[in-house]
Amino acid sequence: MTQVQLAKEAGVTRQTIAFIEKGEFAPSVTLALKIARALDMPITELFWLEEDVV
Amino acid sequence: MIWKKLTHIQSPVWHMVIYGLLLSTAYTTAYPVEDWLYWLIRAALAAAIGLYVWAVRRHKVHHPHSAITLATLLPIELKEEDEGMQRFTYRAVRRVYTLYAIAVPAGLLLMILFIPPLWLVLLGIGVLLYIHLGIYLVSIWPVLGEE
Repeated sequence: MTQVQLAKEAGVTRQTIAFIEKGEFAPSVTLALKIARALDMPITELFWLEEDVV
Repeated sequence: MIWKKLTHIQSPVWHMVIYGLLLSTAYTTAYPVEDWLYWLIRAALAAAIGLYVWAVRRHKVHHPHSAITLATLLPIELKEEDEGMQRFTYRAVRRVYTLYAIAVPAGLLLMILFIPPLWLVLLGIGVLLYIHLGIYLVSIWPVLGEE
């Protein structure tokens, strides 16, 4: 899925998706859930806390 | 594309041009200038306002869910399309508002102390607006570059 397609599914601009991918922007819970739904993945597979990275 | 970045409806360039022409109109009302210059500035102001109204209407067509209205007191740059863009805009305008919070009282104090001529007041406002433009563009440019 491209950034443009994901942006459309989640109802945001492509720039916002790009910033989330780069880690420059932490989305709201609502947007995170929409992205997870669009990608058909559990939210914990997409977003995690820095300190949880081993 | 630079043109697209600068004509982004939330860009302060619109305000810069219109405020600059308003300042020029005030100057040419207060001080005598050539007739052609007097009318050229007024024609440019009318054209700039006309273009701005057109751009706002165009934005409404492309973004009906976050339409910008002309009759609002909310600064236009706060009407971004989504939360990602809002975050960068808020960061940019916070710096601009900090500038005004310092510059406006400082400017008023200087005016009380020195009672400057009108041309100097207009020049001061112009310089302040261009600093505003600089701060905003430096903050928002990387975001617009993602177009």
